[in-house]
Amino acid sequence: MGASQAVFSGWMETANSAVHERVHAQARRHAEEEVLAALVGQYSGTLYRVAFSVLRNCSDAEDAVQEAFLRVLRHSDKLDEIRDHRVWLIRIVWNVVLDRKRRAKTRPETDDVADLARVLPAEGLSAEERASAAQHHAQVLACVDKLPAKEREVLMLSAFEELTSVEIASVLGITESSVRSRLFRARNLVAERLNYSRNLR
Amino acid sequence: MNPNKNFTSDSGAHPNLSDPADLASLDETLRLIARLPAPAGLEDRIQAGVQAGVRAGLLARSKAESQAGSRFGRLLLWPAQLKPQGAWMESAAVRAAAAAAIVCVVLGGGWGIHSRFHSAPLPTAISPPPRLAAPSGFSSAGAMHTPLTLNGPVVAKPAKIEASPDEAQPVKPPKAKPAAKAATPLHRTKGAGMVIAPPAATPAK
Repeated sequence: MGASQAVFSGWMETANSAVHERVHAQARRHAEEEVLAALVGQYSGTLYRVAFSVLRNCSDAEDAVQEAFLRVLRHSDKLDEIRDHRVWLIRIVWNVVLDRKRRAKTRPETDDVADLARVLPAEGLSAEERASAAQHHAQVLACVDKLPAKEREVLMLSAFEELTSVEIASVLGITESSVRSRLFRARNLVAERLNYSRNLR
Repeated sequence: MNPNKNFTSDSGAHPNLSDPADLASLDETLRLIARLPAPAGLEDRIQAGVQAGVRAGLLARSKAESQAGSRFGRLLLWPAQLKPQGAWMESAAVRAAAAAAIVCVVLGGGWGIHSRFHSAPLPTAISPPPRLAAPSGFSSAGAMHTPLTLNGPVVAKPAKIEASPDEAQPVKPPKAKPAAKAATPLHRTKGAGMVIAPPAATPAK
């Protein structure tokens, strides 16, 4: 076989391997999209609640979930390496939410009592009771907002039944003992503020 | 708040002085928010957004960057519309050959231009600029200022190396000129012209 034939055959082998590589990449991409669709169906509600607990705005929370899944899409090659998709996704949406909150500090959150009364479920309550409950929730949330950031984050995440203290520690990147101590401080601080505001009235 | 979770403080030094009613209201509010139902159609909207992201080429771009960056690093990406259907452009060897061909063409063109246009030879002597008449009417009358320079070493003319065989003979001392032609008589010899008489002997003291 001449040298030119060898070069030509090598060239063809390279082209064939490139075709195989491309087909394999397409198949892998389809598989990743299917996995991503499954993740959206399974965890979009949880992620929405986590986002809403911080942003307290329906559209902002939905946008945050959308952005979180787009981030997942960018790093979809790591999906196989992730052991717990739920905690990983909550961590992503948590970072997205904190970024958004940091960027849009000037924009006021939905702390209007009427909006909160519309969002929070109030079955079997009269309009007057619903307004009173919304006012109380708004007062509690105002106290929560005045907490230091570290304590506030732990307190917000601890409200989710899906998350254990170990998982909260994983989301925030701290130790479990730190989660416990911060939560203890946060609860005491909020209770003191609520007690103080009630005594003022 | 999840009742199954046992969130108690590690530090027992600080007693919990807060009112249980306040803590209950706090837990209730947070639980309400945490249990909020997702809005209707959230899942479909998220799916549509993800699909739009895929169509926008977000995934393809990130993959191409990661793949190209791992090998050689790719400077330019083919637009999706202009990308050839075959996968031959994906091969690194083909891309390297194409890059080498482009470099050869550019270098060859540059060399052709360089060889076609030769630069002008440098002048051996610098001619002085032409003198212009002074606008006021006075002129230097063509006088040129010559800087004062030191006298340089005098170069001796080299002696002639090759001499004719006649000149190679020892030089005879020059004959003394006849001091007193008139005083000395001229003797005529046979077959010859005039012969110079020997000089007169000096008188002994």
